[in-house]
Amino acid sequence: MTKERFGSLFLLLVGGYALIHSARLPLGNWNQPGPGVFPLLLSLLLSAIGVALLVSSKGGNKFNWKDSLSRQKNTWAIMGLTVGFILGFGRLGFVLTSGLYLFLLFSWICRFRMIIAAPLAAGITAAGWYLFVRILNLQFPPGLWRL
Amino acid sequence: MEAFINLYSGFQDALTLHNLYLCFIGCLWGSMVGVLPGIGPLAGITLLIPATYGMDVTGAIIMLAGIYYGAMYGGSTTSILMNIPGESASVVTCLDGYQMTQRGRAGAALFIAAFGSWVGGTLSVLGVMLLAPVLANLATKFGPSEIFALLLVAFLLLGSLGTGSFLKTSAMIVLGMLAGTVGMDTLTGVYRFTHGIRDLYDGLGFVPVAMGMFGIGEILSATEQSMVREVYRPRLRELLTNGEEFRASIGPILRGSGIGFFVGLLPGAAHILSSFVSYTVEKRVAKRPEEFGHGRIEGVAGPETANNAATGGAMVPFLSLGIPTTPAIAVIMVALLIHGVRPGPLFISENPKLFWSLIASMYLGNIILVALNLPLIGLFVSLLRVPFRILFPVILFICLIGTYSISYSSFDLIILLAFGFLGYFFRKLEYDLAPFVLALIIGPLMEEAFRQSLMRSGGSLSIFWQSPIALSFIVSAVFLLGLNILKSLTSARRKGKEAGSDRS
Repeated sequence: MTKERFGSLFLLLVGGYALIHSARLPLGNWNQPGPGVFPLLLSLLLSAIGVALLVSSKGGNKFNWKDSLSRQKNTWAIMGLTVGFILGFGRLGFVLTSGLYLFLLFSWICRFRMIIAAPLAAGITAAGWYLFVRILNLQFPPGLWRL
Repeated sequence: MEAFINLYSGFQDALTLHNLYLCFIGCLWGSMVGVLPGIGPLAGITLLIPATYGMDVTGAIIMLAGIYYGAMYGGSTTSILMNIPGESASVVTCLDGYQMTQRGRAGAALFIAAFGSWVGGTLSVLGVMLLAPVLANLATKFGPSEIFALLLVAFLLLGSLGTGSFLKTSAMIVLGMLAGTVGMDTLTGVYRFTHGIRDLYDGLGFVPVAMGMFGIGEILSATEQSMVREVYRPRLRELLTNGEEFRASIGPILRGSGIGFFVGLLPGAAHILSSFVSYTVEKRVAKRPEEFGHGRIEGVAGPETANNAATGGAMVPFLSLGIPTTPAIAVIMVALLIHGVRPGPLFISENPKLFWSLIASMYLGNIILVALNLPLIGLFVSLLRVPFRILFPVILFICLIGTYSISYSSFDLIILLAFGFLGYFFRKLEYDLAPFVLALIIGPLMEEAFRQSLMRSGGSLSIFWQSPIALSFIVSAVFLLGLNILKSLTSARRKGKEAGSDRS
């Protein structure tokens, strides 16, 4: 499948979802347009653009999904670690979550040895804490041991 | 004359030690984020929004605007020294700037880029000062139908001037507008696309969406590529142009200032477009155009001046109409809204002190930037020496903390990550991201104007062409739409012919 075709199918999918959902909203009438009118018009327009792109996507370059997926290892790993950060931030607090997140990024994705990754993560966490908490006075979840 | 009296009082305010300090911090931070590929003005501004909570609004906007135009100064450094644009607006600078570096003229290229940026920036502030109050005065006569028609023209311009195809850019605009409908409908109180998730009742936050698409999306894309980059380090004594180079740059700098300011008024990729237009013009007027791309100083002077002048141009629709034309300006708008100030037609008349202080600070900021960028070039180059594999975890960390600190919501982090992935996905498919984030913030204004117009007219669509102002916008919109459809059809036909000839 080409990139163009894939993109247009995605647009059609979103357009279809928005169409179904906005049709369920009150549409009102012309002198009192309801909350569903604008999203309905937009979803129709998006679907039309999707169709136009699909029609004009003939003969595009094929996308090498296999090659792309093999290069996406880092992407998925970063996504996974960031999900972990989001889940841990409220429970573990700023220092522990940030330190752990940075350590895993440095050691796992950036392939630093543990002896380098650990002080790097600790240093950046400490600098971040000083900047955000002490200087900018931001409030973060207290987390475990109030860190 | 009145403008100059107001400017004088603006200088009195901007020259206080506190505001000068904030202007300096904004310019320094802006130069740094401009130098570093991966962090743009958008992330730079977002990160410092929480720092403005305790400030007065004048100090806050002076600092945030400093980051915005400071980033344009910094963007040229990586283009010239590494062949990597720090900012998308500096892509064109790579062509001749990097060639100059390879010929041992990096210092001269950096000097002319900074000097041109200063001239372009300063002249464009003069343009903002003279044009914004006039436009704002005109805009006070706008009702909802005029606003709707104006926004329609803005979106069609965005579609035609985007870096991708018209259809793809239009798709991103519509998607952004759809994303803008999420949350409670302000006119009826009905929840749309929330699926019972309480955190969505107020809609999608602009900052997590923009930071996700531009910050996280960029990192996800960049980590697929090589993490090693080579940097050339110029010495201070090399930072001098010879007489011939300086003379050759004067014309491009003056032309770039005009091009940049007027292109900057347009929504979308104005910075990128202004530098491309300036480069094309310089190539066209050059005696030896074949030398462009091989280290001509005009190829650095024109585009670098133009993209800085565009920052001033972009301030005009923002301050006088309340229409942000770039994602970074949209973040400044969010910051102003947090401080209880809404940019729009009444902004200048209701906040004259704020407006004139900002204008004065922009003059001062441009001087600070030249003073910063030339002597400290070594420091900025040192930043580039930090390996990317150390830099990107720090950028990710800053994006996460910066987003969380806007509304202290973990849900915003989920939005950040989701839109980061979406940004990565759209980059892969070669869709332009700026129209999406601009539509997210302008879309709700357009919907409100559309529905209010219909309510006022009792459901008659003729309201959109009854007033001369609305009619002129609608005519422009129809013209732009026709032009774009024609362009798309011609391009499709050409592609079809090429495919046919390839097969035969």
